[in-house]
Amino acid sequence: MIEAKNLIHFYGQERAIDGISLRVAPGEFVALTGESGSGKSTLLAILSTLLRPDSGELRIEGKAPEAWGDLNRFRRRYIGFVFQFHYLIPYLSIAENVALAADRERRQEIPALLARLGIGEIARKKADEISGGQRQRAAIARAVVNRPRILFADEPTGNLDSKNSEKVFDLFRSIADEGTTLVVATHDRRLAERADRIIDIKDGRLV
Amino acid sequence: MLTNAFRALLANPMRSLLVFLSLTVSITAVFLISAVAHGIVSSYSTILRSDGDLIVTQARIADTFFSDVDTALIPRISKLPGVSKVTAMIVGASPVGSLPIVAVYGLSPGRMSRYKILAGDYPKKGEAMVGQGIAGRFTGSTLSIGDRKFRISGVFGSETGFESGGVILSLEDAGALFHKKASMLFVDLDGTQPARKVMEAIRKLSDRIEVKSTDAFVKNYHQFRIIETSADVISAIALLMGLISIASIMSVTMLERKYEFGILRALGHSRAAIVGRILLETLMVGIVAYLTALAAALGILWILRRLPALQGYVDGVITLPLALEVGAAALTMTVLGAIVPAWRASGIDPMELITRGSRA
Repeated sequence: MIEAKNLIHFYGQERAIDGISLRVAPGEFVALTGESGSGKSTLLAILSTLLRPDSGELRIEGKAPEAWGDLNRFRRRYIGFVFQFHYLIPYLSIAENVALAADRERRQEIPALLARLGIGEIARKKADEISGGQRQRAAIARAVVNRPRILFADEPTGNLDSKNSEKVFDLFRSIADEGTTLVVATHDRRLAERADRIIDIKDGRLV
Repeated sequence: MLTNAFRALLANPMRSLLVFLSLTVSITAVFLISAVAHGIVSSYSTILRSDGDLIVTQARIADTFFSDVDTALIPRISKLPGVSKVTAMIVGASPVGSLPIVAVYGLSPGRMSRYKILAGDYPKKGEAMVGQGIAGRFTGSTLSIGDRKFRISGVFGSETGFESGGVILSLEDAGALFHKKASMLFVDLDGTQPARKVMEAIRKLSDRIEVKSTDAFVKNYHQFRIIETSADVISAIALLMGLISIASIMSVTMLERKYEFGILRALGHSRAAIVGRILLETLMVGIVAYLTALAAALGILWILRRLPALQGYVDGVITLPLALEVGAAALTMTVLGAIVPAWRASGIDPMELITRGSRA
């Protein structure tokens, strides 16, 4: 469960988030949509604890982020991220990149996870040896390896063609169907319709 | 973890090479400066420690080269209780043959025997014996020291570079050359009297002399302290330059890899864990650079020892304590050079991963 009340955030003099309140239920797949500059990525960053809002209240699983104590440990245990860029470490193999994020007890599950995401055969390859779609699926594997309760994704298909974008959203759909809460920021309305709910943002406000 | 650190180094080969070269050059410089200074001090200390429990020099002189002790004291000191033997030595330097400067030692007969005869015999009046380090430079039967000519009596061997590259004369000939009786007297004790008591008795013989135990003399010898302090200062500057080089190269490297550290932060790695990764990489380079520098310094010292132009005087020694000291200093320099860039890199805000190319 994610609860946000009256979130406000500024970039300099510009009000990027202007009093947004929302709730995301456990296991819900929510798409944040809006044009470039609408504030969806900033909202995603606040909801995922990467960015502290200038004012407002955020609760995850009923607790404010500060109440979780060590934010690093909290993120590692409860939250997964997928970014527009894959950010795979170039000198490590795909399996090793995923292992970087994995808790010790999850490491043995990596081959099965990669196979499930359709990239089992490239586990030993490096990021520059695989396609853009495979890279993004590897990034998703890294984000879900610890079975997070909430998965955040910021424009995850921004660098992919339509075919690979569909595959990524298929993956998100199946992850959500298994009970993981998903919040995905995307400007692609067609893909957003695959979510349970669409939240439109314009000028830092909910439409 | 080590494998990943190694791969990270290979992934940035030019940066890794630059860090390696900065470290290697700095550490080699420190090894050479320290080893040569240590060699100078060690060579002269060996000469001073070679004989005698006490050393008598002229009072209030800055250097043994300027000391002039009256040899008339020798029989008087010899008669004191607790004294078994007294020998004298003159230490000087002069042009010898075509060599612009050579160490010249004037020795009383009792001190000659510590030089190993390789050819001929010890020098008598009007004769000079040359060290094996410079023997090849003299082909005739005579040589000139300053404006005097001496017959070459033979060749001696010594493991001390200052002696091996020098010439020995009788005390009288050296006295005439350098216009003094003796630079210092060496007093052997027979153990029947405490050294302190013998020193007091010697001091009473003349107010123009200074008496010290050999150990105290070597430890407090002003010139040694100047050499060692100078070497320490130059070494510190070399280390500082290495540190600045590493810090600047690491800063650029960290900037290039900021998204790598950003994703680690976003994945929940702590700042300490990221700093640890970076320091491990740098320490791996540091250890390889240290071993390379040690090998390079040993090689350079080997060459310097054999360069005819240096007459064996540059006899650098890398002892185990020196190797450990330089190792500790080098690794400290590596950590200090990397820690600030590493700490800054570990503080990257994962938000930059979102804002990169797509601020919404």
